[in-house]
Amino acid sequence: VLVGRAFRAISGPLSAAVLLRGELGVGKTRIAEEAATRVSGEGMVVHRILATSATHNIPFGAVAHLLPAEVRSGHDPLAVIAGLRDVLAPVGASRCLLLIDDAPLLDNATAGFFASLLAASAVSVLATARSGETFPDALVGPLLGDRSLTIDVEPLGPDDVDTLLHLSLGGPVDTAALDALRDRSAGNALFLRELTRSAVDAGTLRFEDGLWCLKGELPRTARLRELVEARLDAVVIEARPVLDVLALCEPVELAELEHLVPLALLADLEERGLLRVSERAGRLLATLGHPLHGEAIRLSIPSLRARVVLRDHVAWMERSDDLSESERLQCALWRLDAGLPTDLDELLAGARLASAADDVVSAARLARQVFDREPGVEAGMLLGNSLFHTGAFEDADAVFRVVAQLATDPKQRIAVALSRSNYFLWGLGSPTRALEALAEIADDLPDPERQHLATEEANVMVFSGHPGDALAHLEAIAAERQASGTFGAGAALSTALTLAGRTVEARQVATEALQNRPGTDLPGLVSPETHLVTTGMALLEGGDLPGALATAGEGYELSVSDQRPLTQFWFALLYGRIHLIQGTVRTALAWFNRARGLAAGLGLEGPKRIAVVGAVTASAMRGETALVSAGIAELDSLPPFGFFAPEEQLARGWAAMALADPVAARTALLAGARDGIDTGHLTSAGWLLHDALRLGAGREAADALASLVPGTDSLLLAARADHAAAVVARDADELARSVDQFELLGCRLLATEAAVGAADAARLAGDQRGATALSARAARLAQGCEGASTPALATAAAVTQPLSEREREVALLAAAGLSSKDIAERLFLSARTVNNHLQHVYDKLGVRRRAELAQVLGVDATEGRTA
Amino acid sequence: VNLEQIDLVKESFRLASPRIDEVAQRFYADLFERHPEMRSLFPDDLTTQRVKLAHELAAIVDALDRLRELVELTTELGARHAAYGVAPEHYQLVGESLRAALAAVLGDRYDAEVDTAWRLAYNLVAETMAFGAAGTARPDQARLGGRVAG
Repeated sequence: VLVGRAFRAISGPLSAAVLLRGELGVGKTRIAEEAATRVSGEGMVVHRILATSATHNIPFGAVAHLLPAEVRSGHDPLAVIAGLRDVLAPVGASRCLLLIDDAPLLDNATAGFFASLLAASAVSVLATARSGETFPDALVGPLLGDRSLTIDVEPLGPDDVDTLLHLSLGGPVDTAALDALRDRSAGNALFLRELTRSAVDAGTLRFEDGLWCLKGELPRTARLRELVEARLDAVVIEARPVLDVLALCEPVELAELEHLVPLALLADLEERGLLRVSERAGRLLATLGHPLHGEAIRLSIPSLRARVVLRDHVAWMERSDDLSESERLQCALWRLDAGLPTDLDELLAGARLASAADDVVSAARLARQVFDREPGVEAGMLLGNSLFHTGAFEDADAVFRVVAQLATDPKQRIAVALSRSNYFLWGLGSPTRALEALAEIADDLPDPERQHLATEEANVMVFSGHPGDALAHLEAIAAERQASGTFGAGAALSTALTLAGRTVEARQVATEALQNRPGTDLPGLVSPETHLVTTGMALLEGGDLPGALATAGEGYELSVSDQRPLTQFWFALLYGRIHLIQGTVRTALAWFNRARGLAAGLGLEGPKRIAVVGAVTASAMRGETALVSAGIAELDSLPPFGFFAPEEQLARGWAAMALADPVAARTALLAGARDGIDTGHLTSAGWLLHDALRLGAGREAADALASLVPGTDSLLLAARADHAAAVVARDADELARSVDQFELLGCRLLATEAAVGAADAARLAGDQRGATALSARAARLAQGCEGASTPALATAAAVTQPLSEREREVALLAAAGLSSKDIAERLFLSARTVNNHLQHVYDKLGVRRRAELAQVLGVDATEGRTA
Repeated sequence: VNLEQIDLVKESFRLASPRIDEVAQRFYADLFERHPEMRSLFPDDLTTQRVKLAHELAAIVDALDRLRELVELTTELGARHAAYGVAPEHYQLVGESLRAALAAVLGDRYDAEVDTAWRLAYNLVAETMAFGAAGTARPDQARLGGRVAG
């Protein structure tokens, strides 16, 4: 039945991943194998992945055997990844199935790679895991998340034990023996197997007169591990080398074992269930009968003996000239363990491979092996960057300091300086030291390199909260045109331009930078997705919300499938900002919280501020005071961060408003706006000023907003400034135009608030009917704002007179195109009563004709008629 | 399944043999009443189906004490059933209906001990049929990693 569930789950369209989880020895692998056999019977290609403790620390160690020959021996990490992608690509319309036994033992590189394939729905996965074991980080979501199915494999029931023993022993089992085996094994298939095996080996379980009977006691031990050890102890001494090499290095090619002992002995081990042979990509590979055997042997093997075993194994392996990169790396590491001289180049290549696969833990470990023996620039850079990404900032700095001394040619020196500056900016949150790290080497660099460095300085300035300086810096060194063309510097320039309100130029720079993408990814912060972030920001601040949403969607998907949590964070943030500006405040809150979680996972405390600011603002707009207070407390506990820093006053301002302190709210928002203008966050300043106006700041805000507009191209900023001017002038017509403007941009909340203001202005001007129509429009717009309850909306609710139940009914029917007579007949009323109701509806909604009614109520007249 | 249980199965089947068509009728009636979705796996006219069932049951019960023969018989049977669209999870349901049919026909003579014997014997058969269906190695060789006896 379990097989059936697993089978259906994999072959069906819904879950891409199925996880079989259960106690050691409960039979997970068996079930997985049977399910895999069934899907392969249906034409699905199955790849079996052996994750063992020997391959656990080798990047792509678990999948080395899948690589095609021409890629196997190469040194190019990207070729390895591309090669695997080809091998595992869907065959026709059908995805491949990856059968991963003992998934927690997968190496990080393979795990991350599989996760990206799963995210792209390019493969199906059937994995097994022991209860309580932890997965490589990358696989936690894919294997335990919503899109996967976890099946808990339970121990065998009493009837199952009966059936299993009958079949496996090949005859009926006497009741006493059955009871004893069943009780002792408690339904654990592996325990049952080991127990039965040892009883048969010891002659206590015997076949007599057509029946299996127990003659004597079963082994006393109550623990599976002891039982296994006892059984391994009983193996003849000649077979020990086989078990040892398997325990330390499995999987091992069968040919190597044949070289160690006679084939008959191997057959005997297989017969006893201690050795398993399987075919993987055309090679016969041997493993121990069960991972538990390996655990027991590794614990008992003396250290010198282990060295001998490893030396012999490495010698055997190295006779082949067809070793894959992973296998060569594995040999190099075994050499280290065995105390043999090691080829450091192999380790360095391994570190490179791990780094390319974003397996920073392995990259750091391998690069450390090389760097400690032979300090060099490449090893140091790999080590320092990997340490940086694992969050070991101080270790990274120590390494970088050594590397800075070793680096000689300008390219190397720049690379080191960039890494150090990244580390200072993002790791330590110190832009001053980041700039120092760049300045230190600037003096004795030749000119083109110095210019390159200057664009990096601009980068630091942008992300440390001085986009204005960055822009001036770039313009001053006249590097703007060259800088805009390069991949790395484009991000800084584009962002600075957006923040200056020059969004068209910002988009051009981002597009050019993306087109000039180098062949391989640059190390550090800039990836192709970075330019999608800056493009999305430029679109949003320019006032193209649909375009920004599309870009955010594209980028978020990409970062998920590329396993780049850093860019994923920025896209979540972008999503939150779009929704906040749109006025869909609940969705905004959800995205900011997602960004918050991602930042926490990455240890990015500074950038996390931006997410918290957004979350507080959205919560305050929804009137959720508890969330607001908690968010403010979190803000106070986080380290300062310059990028978008002025916007922090959005959170503080809206929080003050939610806590009923409008004066403090306006003060905070205006202070933030001044800070924004000073540092070059002009679009932020526009937002802050407009929000101050929304909370009653009046002329001061409107004037400042108007002065921001020249030199910018943002429709959003212009709409804000126009609205502010109309508010100050109390001009109903201008305000109504703002409603149109905001609605056109997709800013529902701002449109709602403008409509409320316009209705008030109309009422003051004596245009009651116009006021009522605008109020009704406000009420309709407010429905798209996901429960926003800003001060303007609270008044809107009071002004709009609600329709009575009967009035609503009549209004909807009229809007659907029914005549008064038809309505009267349908509702069992007189036509006069219907007309009375309709008159009330018209007055309340401020409309004159039925056609307008349909529009105000948001009903399609033709659709209503057919209903 | 121990030797006594095999005897119980054989004996009770002998008692039911004269009314084997009634067993088959009750079996299909019970199965389709409880699991109407399985009706489509069988032909519309069940007359020949009932005869087949009786023959297969007789052959299996006869082979119960000769495991190797039994396994050959049932793995082949399982492979054929898989081709009809029978899935492993169906075996459990079929077993319940079969025992219900035997119980109805045998009345008092189908006691708890007989029921246990049939349940275990059926599991043995169902297991090997499922292996046949999956087309994998024979279960007596696969499960414990190699044959011990027989």
